[in-house]
Amino acid sequence: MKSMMRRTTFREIKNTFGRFAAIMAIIALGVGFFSGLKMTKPDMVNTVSDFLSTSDFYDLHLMSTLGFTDDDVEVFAGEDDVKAAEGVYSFDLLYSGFDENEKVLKTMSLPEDVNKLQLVDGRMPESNDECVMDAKISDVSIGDTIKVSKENSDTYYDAMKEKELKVVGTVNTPLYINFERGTTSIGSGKLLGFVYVMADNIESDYYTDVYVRFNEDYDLYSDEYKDYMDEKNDAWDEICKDQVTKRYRELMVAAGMPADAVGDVTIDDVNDVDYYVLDRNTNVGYVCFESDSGIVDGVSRVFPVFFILVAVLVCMTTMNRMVEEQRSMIGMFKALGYGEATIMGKYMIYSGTAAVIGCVGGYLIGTYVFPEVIWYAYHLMYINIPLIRVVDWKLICIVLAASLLCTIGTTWLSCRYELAETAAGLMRPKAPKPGKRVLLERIPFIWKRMKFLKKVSVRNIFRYKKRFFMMIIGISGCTALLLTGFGLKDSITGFADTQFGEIQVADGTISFNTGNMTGGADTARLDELLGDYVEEYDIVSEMSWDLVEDSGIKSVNMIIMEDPAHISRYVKFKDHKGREIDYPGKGEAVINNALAEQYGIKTGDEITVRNSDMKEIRVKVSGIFNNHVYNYVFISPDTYEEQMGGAPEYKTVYFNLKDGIDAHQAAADLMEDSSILSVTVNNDMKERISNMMKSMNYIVIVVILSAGALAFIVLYNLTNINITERIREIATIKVLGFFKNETSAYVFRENRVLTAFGIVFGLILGVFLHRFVMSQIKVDMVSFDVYVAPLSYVYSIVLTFVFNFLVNLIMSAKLENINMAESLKSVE
Amino acid sequence: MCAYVEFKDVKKVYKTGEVEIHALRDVNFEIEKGEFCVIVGASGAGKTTILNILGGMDTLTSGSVKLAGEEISRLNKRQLTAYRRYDVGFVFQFYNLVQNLTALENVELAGQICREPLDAATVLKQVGLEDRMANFPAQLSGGEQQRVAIARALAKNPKLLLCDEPTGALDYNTGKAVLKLLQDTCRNTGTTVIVITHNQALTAMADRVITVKSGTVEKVIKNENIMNVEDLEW
Repeated sequence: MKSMMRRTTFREIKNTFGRFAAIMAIIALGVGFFSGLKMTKPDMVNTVSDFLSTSDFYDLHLMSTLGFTDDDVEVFAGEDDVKAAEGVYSFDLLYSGFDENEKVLKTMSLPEDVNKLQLVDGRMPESNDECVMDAKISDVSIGDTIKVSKENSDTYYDAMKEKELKVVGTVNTPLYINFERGTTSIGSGKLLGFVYVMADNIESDYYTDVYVRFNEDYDLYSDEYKDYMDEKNDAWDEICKDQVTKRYRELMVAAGMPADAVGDVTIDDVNDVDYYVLDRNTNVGYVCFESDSGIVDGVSRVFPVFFILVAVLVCMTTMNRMVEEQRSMIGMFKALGYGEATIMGKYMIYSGTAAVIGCVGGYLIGTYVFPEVIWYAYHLMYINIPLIRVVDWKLICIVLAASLLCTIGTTWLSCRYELAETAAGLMRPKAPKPGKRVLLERIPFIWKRMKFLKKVSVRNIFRYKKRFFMMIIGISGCTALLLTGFGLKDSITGFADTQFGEIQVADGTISFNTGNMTGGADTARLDELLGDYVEEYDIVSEMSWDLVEDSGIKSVNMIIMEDPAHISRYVKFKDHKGREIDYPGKGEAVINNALAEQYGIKTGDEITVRNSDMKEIRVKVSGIFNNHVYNYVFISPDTYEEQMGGAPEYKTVYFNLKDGIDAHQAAADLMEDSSILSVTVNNDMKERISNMMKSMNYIVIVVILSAGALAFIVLYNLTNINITERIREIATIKVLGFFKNETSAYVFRENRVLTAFGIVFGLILGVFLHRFVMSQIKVDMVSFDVYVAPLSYVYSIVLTFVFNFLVNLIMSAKLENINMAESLKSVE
Repeated sequence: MCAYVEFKDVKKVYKTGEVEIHALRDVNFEIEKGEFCVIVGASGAGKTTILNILGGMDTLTSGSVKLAGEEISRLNKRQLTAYRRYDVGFVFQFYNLVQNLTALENVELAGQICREPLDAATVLKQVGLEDRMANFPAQLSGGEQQRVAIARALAKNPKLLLCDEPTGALDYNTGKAVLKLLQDTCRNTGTTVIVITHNQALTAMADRVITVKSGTVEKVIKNENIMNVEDLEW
């Protein structure tokens, strides 16, 4: 490009910086939003992945009722692909040294190669009387001493050599990336956290757990890892079983059994001997993070489209205006003999430069801010480690290409028309658009009654149709976003309360590990066992079956209540209209709404459920109940008996506590009974989910701020263009003697009307957008209620008007500064 | 007789950065009530600047301007707007009508904000546009548009009618018709009319001629032989 052309291009940028900035800003907003949201999950996963990898988070977790010896660990370490196998001591202990009560801490031996610790503060223990604490515990600081309580059972009390431990540091462990510490069978039933001591401080013949780490490097949560572990799981089931069998035989010999008889003993028949080969899916933090990190992803798919549309709009109107303004200059260039490409080049460089700067700026800011904000929200529930960002070059290329296309593309379109005219034609002033009668004028009834200046506004709206249409789009976009933001908050917060307060009303669940209970024979035993704590209880069969549909298979909880009449004590069946549904009868089933929606099942349809032995049950859906967590199929005992040829295995009890009984205390006490495998308190689940949703608040704030920025940029830009195009008209009325507020009203009256229209469309659009976003936020176990509170509509409307008001305020100043003499002189 | 319009030692300097442009230096003149005054001078002499200051569209650097004894140059922004609103009517070279309003509505626009406006339809009839009241500016010829602009200015019933090159964009005959309208208005209603032009021939129709050269007043002449517009030739 010739140097003079270059000079005029860059001077242009300097002189019309407002216009340049508008393009930069809208591109930056769109790119920032899109990139920021898109990179949030990768950043979060990368951060956790890095942490888990550096600390050598386990791949397999082995447990056995007999424990493991060093020999066992050596054997495990020698297996294929094993990077390290480590035996640890791990048990729960009651400690004093906290504020008033004694607390339970999971006490573990310091790891060496697997599940390595990250030191947060202080130093690692060097002697048996030192320990490091869970960094999340605030009750105790470095320098304090905790004491193993005498309330612990003798076995465990004696297992600790040094019973007074000085806290010398705080640590993070990959075993607990989530803030949940879990439950325990001692003390209050709740674990405060964990504490690590020197292995030497623990007196025990055997390791309680073995952790195995393989030489694998697969991406976190990837399918490759899942496939790899499927293989390993199968193989190690054998390996572990063999070792445990060996150990059992050794123990038999040690107990006095003759050596040759031992060889035939297998542990399958022995009741007390059990072993477990567990993978990462039993680790709460690991599992929760997978689903939590995915929440944002769904949202990132929708919003950006919005911003792209608006960006195209803003660029188009801005460049169009610019090219029109410079008509005569373009004509002059043409007359001088500059080629069309050169002339077009000036404008493409102008908009292209704005696009590049905006894109880069937006990307940098967006990918810094969004993940940071959302990670901050998550760190309340997860481990407090700094975010490690990833750079996605593919994304960068995409947004850059989109930005350039948006700006240069629209510039090209605008230029084409102008450049098609002859030089002479361009240098003649463009005839002002003729005034036209409006449809409303043909209704004299209304038209005659209208105040004069209002008539002007009505005519204006139809005169600058295109621009005002765009203003409506911009405003409705803003309102829609606001409504979606508020609606997200409405739908999500409080759903845990709904679920556990109105749907799953049971206080808790007990899983038994022994045999089959039936109401008759076991009532007395259960009464005695549970009587002190529970108000009422019922026997239930909970099984994991698969729903078989043409489109796929879905794992569901199949529930059979032994005494169907009592169901409403624990689960309230209500359909989407709030009407109560009865427990299904013979051949029937009640399923939850998420399941029904996913597979298009309606009341009266037949469904098939199948167990792992491939046995099927066919039932007719008699009701669909509202539910937000997990997927359920409820059937009656006789349905099962008829189709399966026998009664189901009842191993679960739903219960409601007596008033004043502490759930965790009761749980801890009950766990002491050997027949009870686990006790789940529903309140814990409620809290976990509530916390998960807290992070959404931050996302909502971000959405609202972005909506505001969007509205502002669009309105500002369009109003700016509006004013510059009508500058002579506005100068004329100023000369006529219109006061400041009258001039403002003359120009902005249209804005207010269009804002009102925009808001109406925006509210409608917002309802659909909200529904769409909700359908995208699919977390595996949870389904949300699509709900927008009436107050949210009010907020959206009010806020949009506020943004409009702000723009008008700033523009009024611009109107005030219009130099009348200058504006009226120009030929154009 | 007390001067109706009085310019005293008026100076106007435009400053952009370090560049100073002296648009007006020591401008002194008086105009009496009801006079038809023509301010003439070459392009860039400063005529429009004088008009703008008199019309309250621009401020002066030093000196004073008085209309009917009231000092315009000391008014603040809002007062200046009020001054323009009630006391001044403008006619520009390029008409500056609101495209979106009919001829009648353009005149009504001005009427709506004055204290004692004349009836819009009547004024339009007076300027000879009885049949064109419902047309938009785009549907009117140049001369007709200028007449609407004059009607708009007149409807305000102003003390002062300021015209900046009113015939600049019109042909010979149409221009004459417009000037006749201005002269008649001046004589019939007693409105003080000030016309800016670079056309020397028009000075013959004026009561007073002020010649402006290089930003200052060269001479002020009271015309002894006032001609009617129809008799003017150029």
